[in-house]
Amino acid sequence: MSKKIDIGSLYRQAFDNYAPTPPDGVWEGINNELPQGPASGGGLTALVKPALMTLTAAAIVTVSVLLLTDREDRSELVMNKEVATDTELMKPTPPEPEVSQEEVPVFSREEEQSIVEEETTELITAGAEKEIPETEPKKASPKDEAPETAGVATAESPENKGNKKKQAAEEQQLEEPEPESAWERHRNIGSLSDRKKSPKVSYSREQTICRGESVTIGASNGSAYEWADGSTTDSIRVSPQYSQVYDLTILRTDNRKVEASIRVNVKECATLYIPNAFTPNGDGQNDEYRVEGLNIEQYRIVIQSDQGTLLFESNDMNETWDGKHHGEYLPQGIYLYHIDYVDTYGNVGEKNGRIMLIR
Amino acid sequence: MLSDDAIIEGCLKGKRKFQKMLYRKYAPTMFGVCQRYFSSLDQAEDALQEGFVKVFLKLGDFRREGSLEGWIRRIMVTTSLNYYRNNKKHYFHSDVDDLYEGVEDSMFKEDQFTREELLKTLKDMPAGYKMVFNLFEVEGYSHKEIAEMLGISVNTSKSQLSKARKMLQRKLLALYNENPLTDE
Repeated sequence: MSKKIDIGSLYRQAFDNYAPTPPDGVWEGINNELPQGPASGGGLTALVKPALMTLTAAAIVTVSVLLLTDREDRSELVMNKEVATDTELMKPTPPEPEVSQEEVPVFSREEEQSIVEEETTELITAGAEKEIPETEPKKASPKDEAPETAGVATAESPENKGNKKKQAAEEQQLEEPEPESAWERHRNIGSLSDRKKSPKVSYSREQTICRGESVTIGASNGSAYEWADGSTTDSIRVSPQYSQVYDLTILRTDNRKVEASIRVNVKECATLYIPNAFTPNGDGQNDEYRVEGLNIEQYRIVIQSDQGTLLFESNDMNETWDGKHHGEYLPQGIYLYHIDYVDTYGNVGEKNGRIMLIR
Repeated sequence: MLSDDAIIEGCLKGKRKFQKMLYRKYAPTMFGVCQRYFSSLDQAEDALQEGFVKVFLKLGDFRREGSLEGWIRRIMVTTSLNYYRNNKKHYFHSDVDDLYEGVEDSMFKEDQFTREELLKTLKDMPAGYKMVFNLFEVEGYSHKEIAEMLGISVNTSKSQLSKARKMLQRKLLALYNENPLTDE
């Protein structure tokens, strides 16, 4: 015979090792909500973050500046290697003590802008979207691991930064890849303070729904939006039957355009049809409580009174409840159901709700 | 599996790979924690998601004095409780006392009910009962701590616990009467 224990211990023991696997959507949600880059709240990292963001924001332009810069500038890069250190990168305001201004290309806002417009479409292929001149819209090429925000935010993740650098280096056909510090250094020198004001737009790049459901997708912080279907709202509601990518052009507040792609994954899910009322009065209509389901592998229903008395339970969806308890018709009222199920795709779920018994 | 310290370092650098590692390691247990506070699974998922976002954003504040799991767990509990915060008065009403009077403290056999049955009886209780019972019996907080966490008095905490116990006993007895064990 097993040990008798008090109710608190009973529950404590039952949940001691309870570790159900959360559905995939939870991680996706977290992933979408988390900012790219280091977490704040931890001493130095908090300080570094704004600086890094600024630096990486400037990266896009700086890289293009580098491309246009005279070949001799490459020797600059090598020279700078020695003086650039990580500590300098952590300072929010980039210092420029070691390199004099005339050695470095410094562009006025107008020049810089035109350069960017000529070069960016080639440069920023590492991200999911491209910044492109307004007059010359091009399709973006979506990638699976695209960063979640558009524009300047694309450079924030260290990996992407690495890719972009590497790519830029290849395009320049440098004999040897420049160490990170040299590149970072050069971004500093560029000192493109206008970049800070670039308004970021953001959108979620991927959503997953069950077939038959609909979802609202959209972007924010832009001044205008144009979807592939011609809609001009910041969000649209879609219910694709199959996984699909929705293209969107976002006009930023600085009048530059960003091409975004939002992927909506459609997966097969189970469906349960759970009625909320029935009329067990023997008139032949709706006399039995019947749950119907599609793609349900395992199923268990429990119906209770609101006092907790078990009235009906079954593991078979074909079995219906006649509204009786011990052979007696129950009074009109509210009863509670609890359904656990496993669908054919392996998802485990449960449903709770109320049944109105009407006479 | 990497050590918690190594995972934390990666997370602090904002690396998704490490964040996912941390999530994989603790999400199931925390999902179990969150589920006890809500009657619907959707709400538990929401709390889990919100809780983990907080974990990652505040990881720099983790002092590494206690266990990481304990720290995360506390965030999950707090996040779950927050869902009820706005309607505090509503959850700690005491107008249904009489209904549950007269049930004696009974002892149960430790394997008498399935975890699903226990979870269900717990979830189906009124929010106030559920919170206090979880915090006191399962999480092991004291009445004083619970009173602070929920912004109620120690006496309210005690009375909610006692009512919760009685309600659970009634429900379990009802379950037992439907499915009496035959080995006695």
